[in-house]
Amino acid sequence: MKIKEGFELQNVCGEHIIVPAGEGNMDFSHIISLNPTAAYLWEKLAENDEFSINDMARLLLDEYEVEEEIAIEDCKLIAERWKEMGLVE
Amino acid sequence: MKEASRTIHINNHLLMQEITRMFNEQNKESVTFIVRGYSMRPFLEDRRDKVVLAAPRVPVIGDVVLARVGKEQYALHRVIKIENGIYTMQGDGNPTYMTETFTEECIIGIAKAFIRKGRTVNTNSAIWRSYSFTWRMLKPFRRIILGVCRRIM
Repeated sequence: MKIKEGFELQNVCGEHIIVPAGEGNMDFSHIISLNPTAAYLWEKLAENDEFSINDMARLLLDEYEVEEEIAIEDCKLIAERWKEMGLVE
Repeated sequence: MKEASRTIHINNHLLMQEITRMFNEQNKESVTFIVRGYSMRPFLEDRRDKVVLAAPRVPVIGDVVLARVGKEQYALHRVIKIENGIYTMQGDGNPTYMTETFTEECIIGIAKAFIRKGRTVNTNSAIWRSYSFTWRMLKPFRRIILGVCRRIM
């Protein structure tokens, strides 16, 4: 999968939020906010084209002390959410 | 990590800074946020409705302006008087003696639309203009109407 074009991660009011790039309106009433871990993954994944759940898990393992199995499960969940929200394809 | 929809409460002062940044640095045409408070009743309801704000410009009477009215104090109210560069505004839902004043450099933005109960009402629409006119005409009865609103809303 890969992160769809046209989204950027921004820091607004101390929250990591995903905003559609080039959108004329900034809607504070409807934002996609990422927690610090998800934001870290997003930043790294936005750098490369295609990525797999294993790539995501590896990034988590690089940065956090977590068991591989748990990392994979977590990454599956995040990827699922991102897909639901139309952020990745 | 799995989290559904939640509400983030942003400190007003911080939000105002972000709005200004959106206009100045990110060249946004508008910024949308949920309104807080009851001072723009009966049209806008606390935490239910939204305002779509455009970048600052010179306001005219009747504009709904978001401005800094004190140290870290802000209001989104209707301009009712302009005199020597001093703007006076008042919330539709405030008693008639309660007003705030501001100058041009204190303007954060000017309402271009409201989203009331999910429906968008532009400030240049006939609906908004006739509502504004009616509300002005009803000024002597404001207290009574707002009293009724408080009871039923």
